[in-house]
Amino acid sequence: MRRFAFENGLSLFFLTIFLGTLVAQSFAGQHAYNAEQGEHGADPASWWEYVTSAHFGGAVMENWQSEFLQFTLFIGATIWLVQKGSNESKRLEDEGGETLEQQRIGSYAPKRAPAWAKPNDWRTRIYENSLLIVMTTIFFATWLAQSLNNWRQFNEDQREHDSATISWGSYLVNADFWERTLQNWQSEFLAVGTMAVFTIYLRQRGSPESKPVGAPHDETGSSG
Amino acid sequence: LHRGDERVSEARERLMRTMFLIYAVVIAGGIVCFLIVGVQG
Repeated sequence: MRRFAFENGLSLFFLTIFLGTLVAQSFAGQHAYNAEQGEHGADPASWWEYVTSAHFGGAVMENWQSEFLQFTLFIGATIWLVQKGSNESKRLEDEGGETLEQQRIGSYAPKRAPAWAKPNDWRTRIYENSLLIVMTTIFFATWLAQSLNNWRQFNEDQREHDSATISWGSYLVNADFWERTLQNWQSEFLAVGTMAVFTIYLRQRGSPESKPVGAPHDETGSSG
Repeated sequence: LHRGDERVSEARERLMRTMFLIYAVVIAGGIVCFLIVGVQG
């Protein structure tokens, strides 16, 4: 058990704080939602009513989609785009999909390589892009879920103000949806760009997200 | 001894797969739940 915790410490740590903050968000959200309900003279929602509401669903999904978009773009962009001196970039001469030898594909695959890295046919084409395929799928699925929840919330607000409700298709081109979407995207893009640039000159001893402390500023793609 | 090493290696790989599956279930479960919540409206 101790061995399991040690070998999976990073994923266990983030899973724990994810679940903790999600639960905390649900209680804080319920409190804020009920304060707003009270102002409109409506009944307060129970915790279960709140976590199954479009208010909570939209809030969770709009953050999820932007995080998965961030990593999707980061994975994809770093294949072709490099940043001299950055730990978040690979070496300038490795730009692109790299050779079979570099990627240990087909006859270059070691004995313990994943099964689909060995044949160098359609299975390898799928497996060599599997991370990007899955992250892209999660992004679009969460963005869809965000749009449905935001749309439901938007129409609830419209009904409360005796205004006309709109279809999901109309909501997709509504400013409300894009304001919620873009406010999340811009912060993710800034954070990724910052990491790409800050790791040129700044260091964190012991972190693979940083170059080694003594690495020259122009050394690219060397984890510390 | 060699067979014992292999068993340990397999057990560790199973645990890594468990972690992968936990994350996959959390993400897929979350998306399905919130899709249902969104569609119900």
